[in-house]
Amino acid sequence: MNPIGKLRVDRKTELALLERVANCETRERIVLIHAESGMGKSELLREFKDQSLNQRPLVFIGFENEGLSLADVLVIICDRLGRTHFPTLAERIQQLAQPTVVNVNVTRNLMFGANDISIAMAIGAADEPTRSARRAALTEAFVTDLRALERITLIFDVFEKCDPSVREWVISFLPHADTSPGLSVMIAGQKTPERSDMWACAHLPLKPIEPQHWFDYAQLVEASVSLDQVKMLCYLLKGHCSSIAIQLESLRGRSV
Amino acid sequence: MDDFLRRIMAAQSADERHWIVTENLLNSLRPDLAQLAYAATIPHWFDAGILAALRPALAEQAEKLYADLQRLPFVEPFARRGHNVHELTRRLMLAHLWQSNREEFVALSRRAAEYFNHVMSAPVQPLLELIPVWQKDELSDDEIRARIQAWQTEHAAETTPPEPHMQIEFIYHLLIADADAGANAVRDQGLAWHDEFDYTYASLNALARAVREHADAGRVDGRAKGWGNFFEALIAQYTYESHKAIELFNSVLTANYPDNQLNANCIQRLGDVHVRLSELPQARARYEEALPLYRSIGDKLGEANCIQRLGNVHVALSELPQARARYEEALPLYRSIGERVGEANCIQALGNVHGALSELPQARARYEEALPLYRSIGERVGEANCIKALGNVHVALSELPQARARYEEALPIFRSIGDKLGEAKCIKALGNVHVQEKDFETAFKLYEEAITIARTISPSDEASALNTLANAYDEQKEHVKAIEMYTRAIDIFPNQPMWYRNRANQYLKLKDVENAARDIEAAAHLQPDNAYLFLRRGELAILRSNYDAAIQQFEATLERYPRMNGAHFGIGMAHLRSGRVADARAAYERGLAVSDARKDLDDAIEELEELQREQSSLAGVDEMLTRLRTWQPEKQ
Repeated sequence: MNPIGKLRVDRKTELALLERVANCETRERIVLIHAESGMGKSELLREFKDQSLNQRPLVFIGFENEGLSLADVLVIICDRLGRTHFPTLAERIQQLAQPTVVNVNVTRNLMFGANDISIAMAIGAADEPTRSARRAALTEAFVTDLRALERITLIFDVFEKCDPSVREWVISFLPHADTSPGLSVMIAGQKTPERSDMWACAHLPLKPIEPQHWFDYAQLVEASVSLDQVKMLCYLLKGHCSSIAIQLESLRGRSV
Repeated sequence: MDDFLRRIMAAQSADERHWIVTENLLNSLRPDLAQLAYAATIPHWFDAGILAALRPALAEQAEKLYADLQRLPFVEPFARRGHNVHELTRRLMLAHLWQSNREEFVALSRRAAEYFNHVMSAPVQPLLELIPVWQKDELSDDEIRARIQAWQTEHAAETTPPEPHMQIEFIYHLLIADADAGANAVRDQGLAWHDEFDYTYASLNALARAVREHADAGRVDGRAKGWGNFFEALIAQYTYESHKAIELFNSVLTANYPDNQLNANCIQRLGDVHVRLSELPQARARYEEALPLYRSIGDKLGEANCIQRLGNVHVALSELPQARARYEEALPLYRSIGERVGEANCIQALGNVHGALSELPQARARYEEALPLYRSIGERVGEANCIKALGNVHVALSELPQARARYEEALPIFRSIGDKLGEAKCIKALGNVHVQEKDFETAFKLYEEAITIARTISPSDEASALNTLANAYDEQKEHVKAIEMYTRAIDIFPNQPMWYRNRANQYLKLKDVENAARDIEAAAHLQPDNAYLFLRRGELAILRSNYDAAIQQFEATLERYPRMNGAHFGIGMAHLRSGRVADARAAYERGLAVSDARKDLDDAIEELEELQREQSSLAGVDEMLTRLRTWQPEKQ
């Protein structure tokens, strides 16, 4: 963890917005957090995740370097929220993966894994329209189960690095999220989905932190630096959070 | 501080500013921690174990140093795997290390590759140690193979294959530690992942991204970069981004890497993209270019695939004898390497060629040969296609009940495997059976069902289904309605010459010379060497009373398609109208000699009846009509 174990700097406004969306106090069910690298997107979301602990069911998926497929993403979500909450999805997986089986054994089928989902999406579907129709069928089942739950938050971080097939799916999922009162979706990245008329979203561009907050942080990490010097630093580093934090850390316990 | 501020102010970019502060911090750290921070940037994530492997001299303090590292502002948690250096800082630190101390970079990468390889191979390590012992005991290869298999079965639970992210991380480091081995690993892993059954290509994409990360930073070039680009191009091809795929394949070829397999694969895949874009001459040129490359490296599978693809192009260009020759060339190659899917596909393709050439017994024999092969390898698409093709043979032989039985056997297979295209084609084929039975009501219902399914697949499939419906209207002599359907097909998918030729046929039947000529020329523009094009030109020439020109066109048809009895009958008609009864008789007899079914005869009889009505005194017409009406096909 970083020196103070929590957010290096103040993001109260942003956290409050995330809180309101997650508590379903806003019309928007979707938040897009778009900023360049080093502005604190992941840190903000981790902080929100920590604050949400024991408050609400939340699934955090980061696409740093994982090569996660859509099947992996669905399994992660189902695992975190509990497989028993996804009977419709389980049934649809079995129908698609084993179309010749007439009587679906849902209880047994709740054991599905990423491979089962991949099979359901792809087996025998050599053409893209068929696969697309299957993805839509699975998504519909998934959404049906999600809607039966209350106050679920899904967080997708480092969105610019997710696999194109997952990106496409997330974008197609957003209209469902928009019409699901108990669901909130937060997407952060250097690139986030383009805004669309199909769904409403709150936009959260991370702005530079005020020098006063950096000064407070500097005192916490025992960097001997004056407010004016912090102001100068913020100005010279164009408000870039990661750069400022690193520079203050290098001054830890030292006078400028 | 002044110096620091001056440097910051002089910095030209955000990256430069960020590097100045990062370097400042690294210089302020204890030497052991700074050393470890650099090591930590090498992998995409790290924990104490990885750090110990990267810096063996610090292994004993690894746990403590790992905890210290976590306090640095550019270190962040990495889900389920430990921590990582923040992406921006990592990129700049790696660039600095590469520039200032490349040897160190390579050494760290080598240790990282060894570490990830060890982690992946640890579960099978006991087996790797047993093999030399068995070899020492002078067990035969078969015995050793059996023991390996037994060991794997016994330890299946603890020896699951390594996860893709581990394999990618290993290759990522190997690319720096040993460029050539890294390139081979990218190639082998990519080829293993490129036909993942789930069509998502997530692992392949992650692998290509790992190569690109090094390539963009100037750390990897040559074959490895070429293979990375090749797989990116392949994904673009699979996801229908044809122009991006062409650009990437060409970028690999332009770089002229000393790797003939890579170059051959790129050229062959470019051919595939051209096929998708219906650019058949370009596709053929590419396959012909790739073929000698595959041969030069002894890649039999690549060679066979290339030859088979050339066969497919010949089929698409209606060059059936050439197609047959290609399939017959590819078949023994597939057999020699035990590639059963390729073998079955080739046999089926040969059946298709025989079918198109009206060589029905040979077609049936080929399908019956391919069918058990498909069944033995559980290839259900091939199985269903083969059964449907056998139905087509029955149709051509006017054996309608048997044809229907075959289609009804194939249809549930297509449905069970979710093959919409196969399902639509099968329903269309059942519709065709009803048309032949003159049950048009049922046929039209089936065609509408097929069109609805085809619409969900692609414009070309919808157009193809409309073409079939139009053919049924033709059977019903509803030529205006047929023209309407062909026009809809053309509107949806204008690049298919068959639609124009078929519509021209309707105009010919309506004696609309002008529109027929226009459609024939449109078809010629798209596909100038098609047998049916010459057939329609011959029919047009008859309408224009240019009988000698008509004969020339029909002969051109027969050069391309010797068993097309319509062309023989056309020649007969041209001679008859020119008063050359003996020549006409000979031509009609030649046509009958290649007839397998009544259907092909009906049009010729109708034309003769029409001629009889127009010119009742014309010599030879009654005789030809009697001959054709009384002829019975000899079933082969």
